Amino acid sequence: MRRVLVFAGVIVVALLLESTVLASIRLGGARPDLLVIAVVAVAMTAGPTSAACFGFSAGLVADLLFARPVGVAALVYTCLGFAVGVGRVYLVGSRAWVHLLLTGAASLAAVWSAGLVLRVLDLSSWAFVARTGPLVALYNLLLAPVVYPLVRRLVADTAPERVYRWQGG
Amino acid sequence: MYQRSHNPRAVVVVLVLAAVVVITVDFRQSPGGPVERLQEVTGAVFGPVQRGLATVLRPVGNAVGAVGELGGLRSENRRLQAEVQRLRGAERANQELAGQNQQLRATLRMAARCGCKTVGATVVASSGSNFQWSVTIDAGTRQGISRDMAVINADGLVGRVVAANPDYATVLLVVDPTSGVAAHVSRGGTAGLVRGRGSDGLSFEPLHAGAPVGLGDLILTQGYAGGVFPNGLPIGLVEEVGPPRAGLVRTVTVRPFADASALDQVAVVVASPPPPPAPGGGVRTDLGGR
Repeated sequence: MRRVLVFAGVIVVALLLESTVLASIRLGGARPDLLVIAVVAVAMTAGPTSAACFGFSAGLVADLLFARPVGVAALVYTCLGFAVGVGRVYLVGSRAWVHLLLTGAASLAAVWSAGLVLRVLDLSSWAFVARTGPLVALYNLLLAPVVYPLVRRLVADTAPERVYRWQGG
Repeated sequence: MYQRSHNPRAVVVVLVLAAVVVITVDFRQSPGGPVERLQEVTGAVFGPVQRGLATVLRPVGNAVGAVGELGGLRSENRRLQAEVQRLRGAERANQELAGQNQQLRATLRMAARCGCKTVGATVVASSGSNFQWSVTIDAGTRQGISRDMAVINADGLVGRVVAANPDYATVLLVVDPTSGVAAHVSRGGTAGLVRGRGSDGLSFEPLHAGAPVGLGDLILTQGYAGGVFPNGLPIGLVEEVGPPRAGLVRTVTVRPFADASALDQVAVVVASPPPPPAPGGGVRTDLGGR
């Protein structure tokens, strides 16, 4: 229950910051995507299931708040959270710059994936998607040193996922 | 060997399917559908907080600006510095009010241009997404605003209302890639469709190949019975005319008048005069944004 509250709090605060403070501070026409940093932080801390649920909820609320098309961000963040959560076994304990690089790569992947879906729906152009991805990744890299550890700490303070071990024999 | 309490793969498959279902429902829903109602609820929940944050952050921005300006006044004594700061603060506030007043007057002139009845509103938040161009305004159904009403500002057409709750409304900007507006060229009356291209501005697609469109031509909205946009509102200027493609109409790049990144005072058209008879025998050109 505590984890659900923390997730909800992170989503609400990230969306409020994105739509007010950060919306007016653009970098080459691009806006940062705090939710991607949050999804990666949750995935690295809580694993694929929690990250997929967090990604779905965050994406859905963002889609609903920022007008249509609804469901695209939910789809992208779900897949991103799951993928990073599954791959975290190769990264846990790595140095800070690896986490930073992961956040940048995830940001690029998120923008390009969402752009691909929107391009398929004829709602975006290849040029815009190609240009925006690196800019969002760069913007997120600048914000990650603050946002990433904060979300990780918040999530880590909640109860971990229960794991049942089966002692064969 | 171990087993988790939830199978991660099953969970992610369910969530991905749910997302795909939501996308499909959103695309296929009629006005007032379930996703739209959810959008209204989300807007109603976030709107007051966004407005509060915008109110809090504006003075902070002013204060940061004032601190920066104090560097040039070091030679003056402390009392005079405080006095200058206070007067400058008051002047900035007056300038802001004067600017706001000017914007509102210009917006009213724009409304008068099409003979529209409008409701004024302030932009309190904008979309945080890189793929959606929308803003939240601090007026809603209580002020008579409903879905599919045109939104204008001092420069011209801004967009249309896509969701409204009692106190706030979401406006889809004309530059959003899902936006489509029936339009015509001021000089010559060539009819066509204006589509959003995000940060790349707008494109104008003439209905007929070979229709005359030139650089610097003014693009205006084309009103028709049952349409969203009143007739004759300025949208933008033709910036580039693409080469004719075999069997296809030319794509014309349009620079919008309304700056999507600097919207502040806007007006929602709640009533407009009946449009003139459509050119070319009443061809319906509006795609309704989808």
